[in-house]
Amino acid sequence: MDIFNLTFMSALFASGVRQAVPLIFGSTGDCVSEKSGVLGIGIEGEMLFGALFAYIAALKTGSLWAGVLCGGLAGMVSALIPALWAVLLQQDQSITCIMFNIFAAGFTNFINRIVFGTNIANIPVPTFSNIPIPLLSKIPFVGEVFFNQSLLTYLSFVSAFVTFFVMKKTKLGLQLTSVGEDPRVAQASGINVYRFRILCFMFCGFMAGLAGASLTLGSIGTFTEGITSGRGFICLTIVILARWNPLIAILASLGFGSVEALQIRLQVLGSSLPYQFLIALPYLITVVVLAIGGSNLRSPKKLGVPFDKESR
Amino acid sequence: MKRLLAALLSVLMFVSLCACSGNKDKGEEASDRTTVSKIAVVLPGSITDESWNQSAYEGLMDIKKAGYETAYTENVDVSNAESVVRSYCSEGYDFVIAHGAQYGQAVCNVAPDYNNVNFFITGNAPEDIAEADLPKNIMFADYRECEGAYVSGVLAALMTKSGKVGYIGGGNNTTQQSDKNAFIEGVRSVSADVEISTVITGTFDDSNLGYETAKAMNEAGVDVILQTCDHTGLGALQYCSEKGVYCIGYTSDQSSLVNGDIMLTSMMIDIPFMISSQIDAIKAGNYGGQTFPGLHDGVVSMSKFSPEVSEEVAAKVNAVIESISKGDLVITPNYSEN
Repeated sequence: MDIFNLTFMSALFASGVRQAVPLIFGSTGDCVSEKSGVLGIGIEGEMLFGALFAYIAALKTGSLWAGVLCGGLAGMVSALIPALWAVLLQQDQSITCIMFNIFAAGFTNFINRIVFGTNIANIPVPTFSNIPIPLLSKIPFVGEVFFNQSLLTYLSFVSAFVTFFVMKKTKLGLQLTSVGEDPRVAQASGINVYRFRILCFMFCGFMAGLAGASLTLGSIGTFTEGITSGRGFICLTIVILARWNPLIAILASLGFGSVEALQIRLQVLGSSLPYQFLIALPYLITVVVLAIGGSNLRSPKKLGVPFDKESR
Repeated sequence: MKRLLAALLSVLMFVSLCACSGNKDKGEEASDRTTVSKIAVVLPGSITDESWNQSAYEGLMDIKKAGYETAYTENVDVSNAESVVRSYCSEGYDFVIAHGAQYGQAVCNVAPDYNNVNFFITGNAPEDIAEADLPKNIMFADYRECEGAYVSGVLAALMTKSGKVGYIGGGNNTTQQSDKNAFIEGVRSVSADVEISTVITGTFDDSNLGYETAKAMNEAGVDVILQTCDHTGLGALQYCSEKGVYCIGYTSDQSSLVNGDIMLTSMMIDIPFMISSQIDAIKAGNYGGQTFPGLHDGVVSMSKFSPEVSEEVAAKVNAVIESISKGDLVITPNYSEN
């Protein structure tokens, strides 16, 4: 088909990159949290908090960056709720986080209705516009796909790179690994495991908040209830696929976003495949890749195991 | 402490068991269904969606203002619908509204157990149940939303400059499928050459996906878009508003959601009226069966055309609306999926 030309492909992948942004933020945060041994299942809820408060702040202050910051902070503060139970009170991490997600879904709707009421549409705020990077954006194809995006998109890439660097090349990264692999040894070497894990979890919350902010301020400029639509859970899968490595997580996010962009375009072009199959396509591919690439998976040894410094 | 808690919980459980059994012996005795006092609505989405669910909520609020006791549950999955409907019945609600054709099966399962309760479904009856086997205490309002979709198709085909029009749906229920098919039929009635692209997003909540879908359509040359998918549709409207792409709104007059005059019209469904008018129907007796409200009785209507629509086009579209309301042109809902 001549329709699959360069313009089509660059539009396809540019859409893939846009849809990958919340996934990159979220999975970067979750990499850190899971490396420290705490499952970041609450990421869906933290994302919702981030999305709502980013929108409210952007609307009230008129500044998009204030919105992004507030979104991140809202995600971070909300992450304290599951952190309290999962780390300090040593409860089951999955259950606390799932409860938190349900709470977040209801509570963000509640706040949304208190602030804006149910009768009027939320007023859209201006969204991040595309800022082409000089020179780089002139590269054919790649320039259009990666270097003609919004600042928020660049920020997501930068944050993943920085996180990767800190995880792999610094003492902090080493401490992170030790807390997730063997918290007892880490404790013995003088790390406060509780504090460390909570800080990692809060970092994850902050990134999830940015992911939420990118959902509301990235292209649509408003908050709608349940706006995350399960993206937090996709992040969890991406982290496993990427083997707790933020750089591979970028690739996985881009893959997921691009397949989503592709399925929309296949429908637009009138593909003869049933639409149910196309809607399921991104998830189907994720499952298949996980099945193929999931063997010899080595997760952080104490992932999901609450740490109790008094027990043996 | 733990023991005390356990003891308390078991007492609580015992009490709630008693409460359950207490309700059991209603059932058959009263099949007088002409009274109504407590009304509940089961909604598939949230009441702030500017669309399908919000309008049902507004209908319920009209009822509440009239002095009835009301309740509603949002975001009910089809899989949970039966238990939600059942619990409303056992709590003494005597009129239960399930807002969507997807709940048909669940309500058909519950209805025979509660002969004194009236049910209302905003959609068609399940296709796999014979008409004679449908419980008598359910009213199916198989309203002809597709008539509005047909008219939208006609308008879209007359307004497109690129010769490409688009439809974005949320999917997974018969109303949506008939919308899509009627839209296509409407476009085809004007021209055989206009290209139609249709996308079923599979979700009513994902505004970002709606935005990306509208963008993908626009990039493929589509210049008029009809959306019928609530929150997902809001994202699509946002894109249209940004890029000045013609669009058509859904369930209520959505023209205030976009900049300028790009919203050609909205296919409105007077859900508040459809719901609040049921009270009178119940009081009249013999409630149940199927009705087919549509353009002819104002349940489906088109909002005022935007100034972008020329008088000539408006006249053509109005002629179509007129012949549908008179019954000269019959739009049969087509539920086929592809």
